[in-house]
Amino acid sequence: MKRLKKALFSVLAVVFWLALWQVGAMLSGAELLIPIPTFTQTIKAFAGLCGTGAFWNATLVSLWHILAGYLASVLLGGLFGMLSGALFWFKTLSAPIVHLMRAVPVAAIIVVAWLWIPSAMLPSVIAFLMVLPIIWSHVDAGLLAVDPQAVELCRVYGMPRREILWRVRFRYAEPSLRTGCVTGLSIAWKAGVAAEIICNPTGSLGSFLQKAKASVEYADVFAVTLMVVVLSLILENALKLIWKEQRR
Amino acid sequence: MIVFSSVSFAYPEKPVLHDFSMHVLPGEQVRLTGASGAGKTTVLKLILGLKRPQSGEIRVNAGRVSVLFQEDRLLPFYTVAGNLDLFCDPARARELLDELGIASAADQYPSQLSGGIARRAALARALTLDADLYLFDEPFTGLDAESRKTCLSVLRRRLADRTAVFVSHLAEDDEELPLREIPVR
Repeated sequence: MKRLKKALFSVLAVVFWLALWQVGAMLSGAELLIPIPTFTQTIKAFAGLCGTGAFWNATLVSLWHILAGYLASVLLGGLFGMLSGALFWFKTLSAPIVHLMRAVPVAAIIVVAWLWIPSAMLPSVIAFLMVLPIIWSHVDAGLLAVDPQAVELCRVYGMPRREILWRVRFRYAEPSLRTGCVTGLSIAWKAGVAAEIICNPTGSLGSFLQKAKASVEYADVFAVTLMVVVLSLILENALKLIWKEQRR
Repeated sequence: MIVFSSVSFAYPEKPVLHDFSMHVLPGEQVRLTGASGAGKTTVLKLILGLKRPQSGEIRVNAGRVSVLFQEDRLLPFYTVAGNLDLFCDPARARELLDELGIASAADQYPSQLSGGIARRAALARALTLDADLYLFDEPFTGLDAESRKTCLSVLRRRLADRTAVFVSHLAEDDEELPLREIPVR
């Protein structure tokens, strides 16, 4: 009952904001030079775009860009995080780089990286660079949460090293790692699509956004953004589901 | 099975063992006695090789060693049964929980347990291993009289002819654990 109530309130909150958007856009539409598309106009534009092969193609291209960068950062960030947790000198040596990667604005990284990296690869590289320090620091923090007494007990009881890593260390680090992976996924979308908008690789959602903006098709701009949000939410929930299933 | 010859050990802030010697024969069960802070737990850690003596010699001739630490050290993300299943087959784990009177807590997580049940769960886990040597650090902490009795009878049955070292500073353990005493000073 409590869960149902919570779910109902969540749906009502979304409906409230969509209604506010619809009414606000309708009221301001007549007065603005560039009207804000209403919710219904956006859905209509979204449906129209979904009917074209080019849009789905662009969705797949962007999906590939973001996932490639994200997965690379999870693998490398996981490795670097483990090294930071295990080796003090590695943690100290890498700390300035991690801080730098976190502090530099994404737009600045995109512009600088664009000097060397071709447009087609840039969104993946940007997604990778933005997510890497997040995964890295979350794995490091997770390893700090490992209870040394629990590890000591398992060693004394003769548990093999690999099992200690998987059944004990990983379980202690898991909450932090999970937070890092989920946070990193939404950052990957934001940074990756930002890179697509700036460097405009052909046939991506970013280039769709650019084109829609240039031709003053604001309902299309909102529709493409909607697709990015939907994809991000689907992947985020899929990740949570995989994690939940794996723990059963 | 265990020989300590003139062993000395000191923590940075405090010396605990000075010229300490003892021996434990195979199949023998002994009890380390002494005031709090005398170094009884340190002796167990030296047996386990978790600490190294500053001087003296330690010989431990045992393959597999099982230990009940002073802290329960139950892994928080596994149930009580899960904590035992890590080290033995589930049937043996259930049997031990049943013997110790905590079968009903098998599917509970450590955060849901009372101190006494957690202690018995940790004791059950220590008994899952088919070890050559068993070490018990204050095994009855937090247990009521009835639970102590149950645990003692399980220990007597399970540890018959096994080598074991108990650490205890409680007066009531004198009667309940009539073992050869080794004073630690």
